[in-house]
Amino acid sequence: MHTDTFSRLFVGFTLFLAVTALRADDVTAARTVFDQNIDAIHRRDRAAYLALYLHSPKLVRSGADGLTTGFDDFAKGAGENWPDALDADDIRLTPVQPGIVYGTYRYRVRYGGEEHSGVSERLFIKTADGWKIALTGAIDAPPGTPPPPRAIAHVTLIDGRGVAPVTNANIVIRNGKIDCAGADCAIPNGIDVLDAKGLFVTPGLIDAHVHFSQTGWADGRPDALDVRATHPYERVEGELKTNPQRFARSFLCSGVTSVFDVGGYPWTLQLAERFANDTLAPHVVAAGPLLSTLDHWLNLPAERQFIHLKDEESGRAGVRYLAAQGAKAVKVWYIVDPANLPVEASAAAVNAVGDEARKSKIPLIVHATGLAEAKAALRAGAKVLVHSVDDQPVDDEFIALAKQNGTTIIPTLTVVGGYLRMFQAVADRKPPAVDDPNRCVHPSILANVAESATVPTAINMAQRIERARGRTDRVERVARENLQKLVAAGVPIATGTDAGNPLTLHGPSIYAEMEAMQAAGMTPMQVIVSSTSVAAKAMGIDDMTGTIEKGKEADLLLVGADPSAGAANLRKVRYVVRAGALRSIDELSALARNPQQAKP
Amino acid sequence: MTAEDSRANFAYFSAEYAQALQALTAIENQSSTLLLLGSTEELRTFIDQFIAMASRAKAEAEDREEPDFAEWFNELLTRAEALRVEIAQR
Repeated sequence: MHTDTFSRLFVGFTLFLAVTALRADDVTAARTVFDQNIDAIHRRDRAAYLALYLHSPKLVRSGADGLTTGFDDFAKGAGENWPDALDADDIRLTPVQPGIVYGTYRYRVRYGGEEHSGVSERLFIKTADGWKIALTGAIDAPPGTPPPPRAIAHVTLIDGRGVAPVTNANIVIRNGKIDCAGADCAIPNGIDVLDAKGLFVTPGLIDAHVHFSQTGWADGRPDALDVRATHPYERVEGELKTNPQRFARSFLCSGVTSVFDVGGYPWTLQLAERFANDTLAPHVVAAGPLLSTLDHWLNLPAERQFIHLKDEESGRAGVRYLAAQGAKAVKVWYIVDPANLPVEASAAAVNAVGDEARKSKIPLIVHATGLAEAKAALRAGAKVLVHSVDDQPVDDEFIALAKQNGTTIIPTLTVVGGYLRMFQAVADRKPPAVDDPNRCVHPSILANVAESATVPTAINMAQRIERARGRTDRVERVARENLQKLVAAGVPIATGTDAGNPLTLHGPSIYAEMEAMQAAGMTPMQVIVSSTSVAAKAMGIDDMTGTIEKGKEADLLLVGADPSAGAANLRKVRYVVRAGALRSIDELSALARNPQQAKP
Repeated sequence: MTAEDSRANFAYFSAEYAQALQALTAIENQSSTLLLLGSTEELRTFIDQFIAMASRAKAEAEDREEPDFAEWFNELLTRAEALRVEIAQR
C-alpha cells in the first residue's frame, strides 16, 4: 500500500525551514539594534542611543524597584551619566512571536572606581519605523554570581607546574572555573572569546608574604621611621582596616590573585570573608597576630598585632587563641639578640608553639633570618620560613631539616632594599622612585611615599642607612647564595615580598622580588612555579588555585611577552582573570587608582 | 510473487525511496544552519521521525522480499543515525 509519509515529512520540514528563516530574520534585526545600543553607550552618543528606543508613553524601564513607563522621562535622564566602561557579554536573543524578540546580556559596568555587574534585558518590537527597544532594564547580580562563560583562544599556556609552554592553546572558563585548557581544548559555539594570539598565560601570581596591616611606607612602621606626629598610628591603622580594598585592587592589577597575610591585627583574619565574592580582590589567607619573641611596642591600645611569646604557656595560649579566631597559620616573629635575647632563650617557647599548632592542625610559619633561629624553627616543625637566612650559609643540617619537614622557604630578598631606599630618600630630601609599571598603586599610598622627601631631618638617618645597607649587602651576598643551595637541594621555594613594609608596595613589589630570585640563579620557569603552584601549596590553597587545570579557579595572568624567557616579562600585564572575571590592565588600573573606591 | 506483484512493489518502493531520499537530503543540507539558529531540538525531532519511518520502510521491503530496497533504506538509516550522533556531540 503506497503512502506519502516521506512526502509529508519533506513538506513539514520545508515549512519549518520557512518559519525558522522568518524568526532568524527577526533575531538578526534585534541583534543589530542590540549592538547599536551598546555601541551608542560606548560612544556616548545620546542621539543614536535614544533613536533605538520606542518613542512612546508605553516604553518600559524595569529595575530593582519595579517598572516605570514613558519615553519622555527616559530621554530626560539619558546621557547624564555614561559609564566609564561597559562590557556586554553572553548576549542571548529569543523570538517570542513574529515581530517581537526578547534578549538579555551580562553586563559589567564601571563608573569611576565603582563596578557593577548583572543582567540587562531588552524587548525588541518591529514598528513602522523599524525595530525598536520597547523595554529596557538591568538588575545587579548578587555577590558571588559567576561571570559569564568565556574562552581565551590562541594563547601560549604556562600552567604553573613547570612543564613546557603549550603554544596555540585555548582555555574555556565556566562558572568561574577552568573547564578545559590546552591545545585540544575545544571552544563551544556561542561563547565569548578573547583572541589572545601573541599573549602568554600563567596562573595568577601569588605573593605568599604580605601584610595588610602595613602601608608600604613609614606610617605603618613607625618603629623604623617615626612619622607619628604627622601620621598618627591609630589613624593609619584605622584607615587600613576600613579600606583594605586599596591593596586588594593593587594586587589584582599587578597580576597577583592570591596573597598570604602572615601577620597583622585581628581584623586581617576577616579579610578572606570580606573579599570572598569580590573578583577585584585576591584570595586572602591570613595568620592574624604574630607571636613575637620580642615584646614589641607596635600595637594599638585595644588591639595587638604582636603577642609576646615570653614562655611556653604564652605560646600555647596564643596558638589556641589564633585557632579559635580562625587563623589559617601561626606566625612566630623569631627575633634574637645575642646579648639580651639569645636563640636558646626562646627555643622552648617556639617548640611549644609548634606542638600546639600541630594539635590545632594549622601550619607554623616562622620569621627567621639567622641560621641558628631558622634551625630552631625547623626543629619546632615550621612548615614555612619567611625571609632568607642571611647571617651565614645554610648547612646540610638546615637542608635536611627543611626537607624532612616539607618546609617551604620564602626568600623575600628585596624588602630590606625598600628600607634603604626610604632612608636614603629622607636623607636626600628627594621622593623615592616607585616601581609600579602598570599604574596599580592608589594615589594615597603614592602621596605618602613621596612624603619621604619632607620627613623632618632632625631624625638621624646616617645610622639607619648604614644598618639597612649592611643588611642589603648580606642579602646580596649570603641570602642569594643560600637560595641557590636550597633550589639545588630541591627545597620548595615560594615567592613572597613582605609587602606593606616601606617601599615594598602591595602588588607591584612582586616583580622585583621575582627578578631577584632569577638573578640569584633560579630559571624563569622555576620562578613562575614558585610564584604560582608552590606558593599555593604553602598557603594550603593548591586544591583551588595555583595551576591552570580543569576544575581550578580561573585565576589567570595574561602578559605580552614570554615569562619563561625572563621573569621581567611578568611585568607586561595585559589582562587579569580572577574567578573567571576578565579585565584589561587599563580597567584594572582605573579601578585600583580611583580614590572613591567602593568599600567591600 | 507474480510479475504483477513485482511491478507493483517496484513502483511503490521506488516512489517511497525517492521521497525518503529527498527528505533526508533536505534535512542534511539544512542541519548546520538550523543548529546555528538554535533549532537543535526540532532538527532532532525531524531526524527521529525520519529514522522511524525509514525503519518501517526497510522492514516492509524485507517482508515483501525486496532485498535491494531494504539495503537502500538501510543506507538512508545509516546516514540519518550518523547525523543524529553528530548533533548530539555538538
